[in-house]
Amino acid sequence: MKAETVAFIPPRYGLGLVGGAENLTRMLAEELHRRGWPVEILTTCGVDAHSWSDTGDYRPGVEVINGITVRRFLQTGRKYTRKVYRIERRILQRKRVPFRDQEYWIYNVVSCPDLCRYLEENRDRYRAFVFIPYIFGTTYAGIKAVPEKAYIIPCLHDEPYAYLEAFRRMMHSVRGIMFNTPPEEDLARRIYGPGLRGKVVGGVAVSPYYADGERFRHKFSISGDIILYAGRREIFKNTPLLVRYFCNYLENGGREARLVLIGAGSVEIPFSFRSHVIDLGGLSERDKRDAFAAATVVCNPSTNESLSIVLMEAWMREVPCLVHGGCAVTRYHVEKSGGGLWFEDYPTFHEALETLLANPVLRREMGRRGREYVEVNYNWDRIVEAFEEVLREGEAAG
Amino acid sequence: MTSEDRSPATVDGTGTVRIPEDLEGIDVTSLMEEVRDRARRKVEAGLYRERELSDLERERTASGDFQAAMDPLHELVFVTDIARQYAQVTSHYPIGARKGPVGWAFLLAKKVIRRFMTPYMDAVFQKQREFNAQVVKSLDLFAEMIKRERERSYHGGMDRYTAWVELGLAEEDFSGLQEALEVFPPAEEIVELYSGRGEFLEEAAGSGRKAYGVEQDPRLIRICQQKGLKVLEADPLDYLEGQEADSLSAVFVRDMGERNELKHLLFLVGALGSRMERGGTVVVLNHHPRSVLGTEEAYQDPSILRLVHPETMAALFRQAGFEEVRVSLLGEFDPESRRLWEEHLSGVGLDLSGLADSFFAPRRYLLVARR
Repeated sequence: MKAETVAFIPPRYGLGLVGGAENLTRMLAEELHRRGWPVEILTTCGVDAHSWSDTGDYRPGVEVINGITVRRFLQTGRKYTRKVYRIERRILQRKRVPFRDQEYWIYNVVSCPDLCRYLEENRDRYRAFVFIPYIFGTTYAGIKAVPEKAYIIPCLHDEPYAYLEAFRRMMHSVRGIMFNTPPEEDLARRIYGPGLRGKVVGGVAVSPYYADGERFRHKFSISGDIILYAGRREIFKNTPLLVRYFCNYLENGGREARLVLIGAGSVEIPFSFRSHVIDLGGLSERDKRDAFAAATVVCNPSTNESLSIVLMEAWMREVPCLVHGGCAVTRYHVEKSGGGLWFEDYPTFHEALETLLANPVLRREMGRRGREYVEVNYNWDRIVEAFEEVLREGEAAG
Repeated sequence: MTSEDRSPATVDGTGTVRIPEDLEGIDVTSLMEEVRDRARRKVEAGLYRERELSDLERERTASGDFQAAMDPLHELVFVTDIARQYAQVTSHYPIGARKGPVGWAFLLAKKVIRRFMTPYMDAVFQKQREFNAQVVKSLDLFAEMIKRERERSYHGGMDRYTAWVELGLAEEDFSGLQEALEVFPPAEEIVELYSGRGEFLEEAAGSGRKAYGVEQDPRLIRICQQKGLKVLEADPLDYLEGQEADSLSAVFVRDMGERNELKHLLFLVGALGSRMERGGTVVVLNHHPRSVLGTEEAYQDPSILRLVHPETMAALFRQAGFEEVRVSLLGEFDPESRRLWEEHLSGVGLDLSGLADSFFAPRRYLLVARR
């Protein structure tokens, strides 16, 4: 009998985990499940995206989350030694790193030999293995274990890790690559050269959702214009840059507004700006949606995005977005949709924010355009069709 | 967009970009060129400068030029975050010393002292850490309590999509829709505020009447669109506010004031009073609170917060300037059920007709108001 089940292999999986790749996996898997596809998740017991420790609530074994079978494995092979740290530093400095060291580093970022063993022993039970994202040991070792059925949603950013020879070989060895956006595909073809198999699938769709902005303002006692940042708060996502730019904006005579930060991680807020920069930490899904409805502008300053679900969620509530011009993906979305503006440095941040805050008519029009863009380009029918097409092409090539 | 679609945005005397109402032809690329140009000119004119956060903080703290008053919840979250950073006390603080042989000797001595003191200090620090952890946890709980209390004091209610579609608790009694439709003059286009799943619009379409809905929940709009009904996406209060005075001729509202805060009902009636044209008709189809069984049915829908008495509603419409206001009752219960109920209790020797009137009063009332 022909195997039908599609397995997704993210390094961590669960409700309430914050992260673009994690959300993408869950949303895509749940949509396929709703459409009657047999879907499974094979993952580790990791919870935290920094320590990757198995000490959280997840235990090895099988559980069912929203109707989907999730198989968890312990990360027994991982060692975060001085050697790993030294290699990582060389990678970040863009120095030459021998291939053997590259593999040593990848295997020790997140590694799960039990999961690889499971893949090898059960390869015939599955139609395809979809690995996500490109950077972790679960993906690298997993693709090596089952290359004949391996597909990847790379979530690729322009970062030093992406240029490793090990990843170039890995990208060329899979049956198909599922890109989230055209700029991501362009980046992959530029870094890894011609011959890559795959196409833009689109990642996830965002359905219309109801939210009550007034409820958010009431609960958290926030009035006036809100500039919302939603996501992990860390230097990698440029959160400190946003805080600095916003404080400068206020200091240079900008409009009275509040910067509201939601999501995991921590960010330092200067004492004298604490009435204007409000850190609410992690929120429930309902509060998060209400926050989008309450926002005047949603800002995503990150330059490391391969899709940015946050922009889609904001546009579904017709809220305009302000993004970093140095991020090819978010800038592509904004240029293509007309759903916002971008900044390149502090002066352009100041002027772009001023333009948005000063013009409600412009905001409404940009929000409307953003929503149209999401509805046309990021709907499930289109995404599932492209997903199926990559699988079919991969199987035909085999 | 083509290069001809140049942005018609202009910059006023204060340097703020002004966008005209007509946004046809706005192009973000050209808008960004203007943003860059304005930024460059302001930088050259020295109108603003970028500083590090630490410098900004130092200047503001020294001058005292910052807003101290904060919402207590924000202040609590802020101080708890600081407390969390200092909660982890440890004996492993960095040890330093001056350069040179004496410095090295001091460094060594400090390290030795620390090595010997560590077991004793750790015992004390362990207690301190536990205490700090409990304090931080208490502050977190306190913040959570404030959030919960505030959430409870918000009277937004459950949204209709969740109640009707996700929980399956929609009322399936559509009595009164045809009667409501017949009140409007045949040629008028009817606007339904809060059109929901579009039952009234379907009834109108079935009778060959022109009608469109105004709805704020995109999920309910999608349901209407799948039925081929015309619905504008807008908050009905915003929609009314955006209409010219004396411009609307026929408006229908179902369950008016039953799901929102009372202030929204007052706003809605007031706005209708000014936006309806002379002779224009508003029809309201609401639950009748006199009916005990009808009230019980109504409250099965968790999105309903209250029922509004027909006399209250009529008084509000009269106050808003509607000259003719009349109320009629609709949706009678099955007379056989009433007869059986009265028969069942006839043995108690009381006149139960008054009680039966309350129990079996019609489910809904239809209010027709004309300006």
